[in-house]
Amino acid sequence: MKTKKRGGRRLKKDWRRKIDVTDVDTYLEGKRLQERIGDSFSQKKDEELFHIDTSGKKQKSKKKSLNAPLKCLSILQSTSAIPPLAKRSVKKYKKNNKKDDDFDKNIKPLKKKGGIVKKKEAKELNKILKAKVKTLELKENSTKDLFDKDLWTSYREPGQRKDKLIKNVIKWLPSEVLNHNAKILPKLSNKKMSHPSQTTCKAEDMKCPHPGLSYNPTIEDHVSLLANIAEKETELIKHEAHMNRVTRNLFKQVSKEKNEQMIIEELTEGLPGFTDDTVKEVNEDTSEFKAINPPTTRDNQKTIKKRKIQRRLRNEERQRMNAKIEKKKVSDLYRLRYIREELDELENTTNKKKLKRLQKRQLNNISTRRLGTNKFTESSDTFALPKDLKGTLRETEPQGNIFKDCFESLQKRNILSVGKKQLKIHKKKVQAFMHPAFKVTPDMLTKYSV
Amino acid sequence: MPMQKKKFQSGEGARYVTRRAALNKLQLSLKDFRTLCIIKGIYPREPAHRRRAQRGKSGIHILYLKKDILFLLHEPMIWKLRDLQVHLNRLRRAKGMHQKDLIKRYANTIPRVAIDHVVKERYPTFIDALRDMDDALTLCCLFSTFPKLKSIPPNLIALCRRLTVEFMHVCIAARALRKVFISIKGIYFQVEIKGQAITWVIPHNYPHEPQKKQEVDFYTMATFADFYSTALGFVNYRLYHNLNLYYPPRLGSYNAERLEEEILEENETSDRVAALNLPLQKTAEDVEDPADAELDLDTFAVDGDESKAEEARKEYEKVRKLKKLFEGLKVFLNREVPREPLVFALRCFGAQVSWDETTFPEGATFPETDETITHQIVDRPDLEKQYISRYYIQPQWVFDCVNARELIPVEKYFIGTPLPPHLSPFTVEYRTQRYVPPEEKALTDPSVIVNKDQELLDEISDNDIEDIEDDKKESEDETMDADDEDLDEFDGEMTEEQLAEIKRKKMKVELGMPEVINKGKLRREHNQMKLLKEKMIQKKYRNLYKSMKSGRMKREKEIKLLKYKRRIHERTSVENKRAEIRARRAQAATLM
Repeated sequence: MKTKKRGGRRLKKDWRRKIDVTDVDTYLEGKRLQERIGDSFSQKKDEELFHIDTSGKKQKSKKKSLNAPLKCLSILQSTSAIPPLAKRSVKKYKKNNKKDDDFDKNIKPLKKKGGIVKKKEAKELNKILKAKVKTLELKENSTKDLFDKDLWTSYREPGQRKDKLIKNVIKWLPSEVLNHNAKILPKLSNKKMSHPSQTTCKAEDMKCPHPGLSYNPTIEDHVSLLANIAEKETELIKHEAHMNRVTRNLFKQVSKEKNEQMIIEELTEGLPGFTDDTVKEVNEDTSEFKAINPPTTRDNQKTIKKRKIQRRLRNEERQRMNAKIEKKKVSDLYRLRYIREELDELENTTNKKKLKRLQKRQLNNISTRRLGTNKFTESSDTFALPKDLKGTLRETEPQGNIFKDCFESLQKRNILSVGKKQLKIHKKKVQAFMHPAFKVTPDMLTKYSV
Repeated sequence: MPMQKKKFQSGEGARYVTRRAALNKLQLSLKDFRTLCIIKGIYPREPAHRRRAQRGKSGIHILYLKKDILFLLHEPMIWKLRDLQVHLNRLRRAKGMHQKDLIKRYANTIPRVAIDHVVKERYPTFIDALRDMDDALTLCCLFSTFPKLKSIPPNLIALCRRLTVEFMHVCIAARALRKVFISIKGIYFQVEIKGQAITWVIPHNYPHEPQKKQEVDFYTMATFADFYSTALGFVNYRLYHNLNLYYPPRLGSYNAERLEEEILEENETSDRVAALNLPLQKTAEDVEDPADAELDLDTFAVDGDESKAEEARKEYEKVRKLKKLFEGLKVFLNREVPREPLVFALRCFGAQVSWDETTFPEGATFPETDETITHQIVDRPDLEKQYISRYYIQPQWVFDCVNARELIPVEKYFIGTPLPPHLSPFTVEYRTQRYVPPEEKALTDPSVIVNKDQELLDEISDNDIEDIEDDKKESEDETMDADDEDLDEFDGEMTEEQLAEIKRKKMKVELGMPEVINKGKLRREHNQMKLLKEKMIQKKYRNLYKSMKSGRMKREKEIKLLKYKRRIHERTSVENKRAEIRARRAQAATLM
């Protein structure tokens, strides 16, 4: 290599100018060519180039030539000896060899003995093999476990990156653009429906069982539990009695015969031949005919004098009233400042009422509300009578129904609407008719002598 | 002319829709709509003005918010539900036509409606999910006890069983149990996970009792169970991974033979897992055990409230002790004892448990004949063969220990003895002023002695015996004793001391005397101050204060009265007993 003595040294360009690298380049080129084509013939061994023919000449099969690629395509084929670059992004499939190792470990000792295998051992071997086969089968058939991911981590799976990208893009775009394109690409829309927050009733009866519900309670707790239940029950009985008094007891109960008799009496009222004539006669005898509003007569007309007196009195009364009002107007001037106070008070009271109403509504929101036609009624609480409490876990008899409690707590918390279970299925009654052609008449019976 | 405003186009009438309208909007059948609502957590609402919300119609309709229905409209699950409907129709038709190959194909490819995303949507954070686990666990526990029923998919029952067992396992691994209560309904458990208290009930171990159809709608409850089981599964997954455990749980060693036994149908739990008795395999070694986990609590208070911080520290210390409550105990469960709740309660605090192999086929680690067993839990009046090396106690002891947060003396829980009452740990102390009997005090504060009269009686009896025996001797010895005592008083030592005192110098440092406080005076002053304060009360609060005061006085009086009664009762009972003993002894003496 020759080097120039003068020249800059700062840049690559300067160095290029100084040093002649053609010889290195040609050498490297030759090397690459050799790699592409392969070693030169001079370097190849004899065995690679020639082979000894021992079988004699073979006839070329036609099929093979047919299968061979076309000659025109040979130009497309690579002549390079360098193997093509492998794809770098291909994942290497890792085999989970652990189970197989276990499997081998179990089988190897049996294999080693060789020759004769005892019956017992053979059975064992068989069992293991079966297990293996079963696992393999299950592996293929069964889908993954239902729960195979953590829902609440911030870690994002590879597939989800796209969403993130879109989100990041969306951040920068103005909303008009997004809304305009949302029709074509709904994913672009920034609007996301959030789960509607629904405050359910906070009755958490499942959380705190009454201490009297213990299988071996203290006397006080048990008594208080029973007292609670008794109180509710007495209230119910009282309500029922009230309802009876207000509805059923208001009406008379009559036997069936009497009822019929009464109906007949009512219907035949006034008909000749059914009613007593004597009663009628009495009615006719006593009274004279008299209209309810008899016509006026000249006799009880007011005199002029009387009219004048009345008019005067009326006028005087009116004047007195007017004077009173005038007087009040004057006196009210002094009351002006009190009026303001009264107004304030009125406002205050209305505000208070409003607040109370609001509070009541909020309270109602927390409590059980009516969602459907049926109203929620709490069923009676569970309890055990003192004679049922044995005091040992072995002898305690479970009371109540947890499933029902669950269901009712859902209804109580306004999650489910109260419905009535339809026990009977109401099917339409289908009336059957016979086709007239198939009808059997008595004439036909005689005709065919049946 | 301005546009005429139409009625119910805005306001409450526009905000609500009836269920029928919602069905039309979503194009779903009522059955599908119900399941969708339950899974998505959309419930019907009661409007403030029903007439207006129903657009003037009378009667009571089930109403939904229009916004909620629009929210449902975006749910991709709806498409799945429609597909499912189509698929089921095809299946039904194939069945009707007796096309066997088609039936087989359709039956095998029924599309599964995945609701994973709904879980995430309804519980945005893990804590939210934990908060709602109460219902989920109760329902899953209940479903796991059901037999195969017509209205419940069979897969669901197995899944519920699997998930509840897994949850129990994770509670054991995390030592999370805090409270247990045996009620007549079932057994209540409360665990604490991530600071959230989760309470659930498991039914007593009794055969399934068929439900009345009017009481519970099975179909809706099955839908709830479906959703809750999914949520519980994901909660389990996260809990297991937080504790470095494998999620479908693995027990101990894992080889092909074991595997064969473990491989059951989908979602079924093997007996080995359900036994709850073997530790779970960990994904990583050298992980801190939750039982030994220690927290360095701040010594300074955050809000400046030191008493609260102190309380929190005490509570933490108590819980730390509770986690190792049964460590070192070896407990054997007898045949008649409910196995699962007891194993769960015992293993949550570090005990070793085993049981009779006839009750549960797998998981028993040691036999009854093992001499190292410390406690055997028995629930029958008597046992034929008893070992001396162990206590025979009734199951209530375990639960009472957990609730008391310490090992209670076993004497009251011995085999065959009538048990003390089982108190509920879920009570909230709301009344401060009430009479607390000494028995209850002893439960919270062990330093209080309970059975005073028994001890008193013992003392009396001992003394009495000595009295009677020594009666005759005493009369003889009395004179002698008196002389000796007199002599002792005037010993040589005493005189020496006196001499030394005389010799000592007059000036000296005297012992400090405690200041005499006139307690009566102090009280009087205090009362006067209080009266003055009372005078300062505003007029509008005076009546309230008076009523409060009278109430307080009343309660105090009640407590005093009850205490007085108790004292009288104790004294009379002791005296009665004493008289009885004396009478018996006198009888014996006469017989002698």
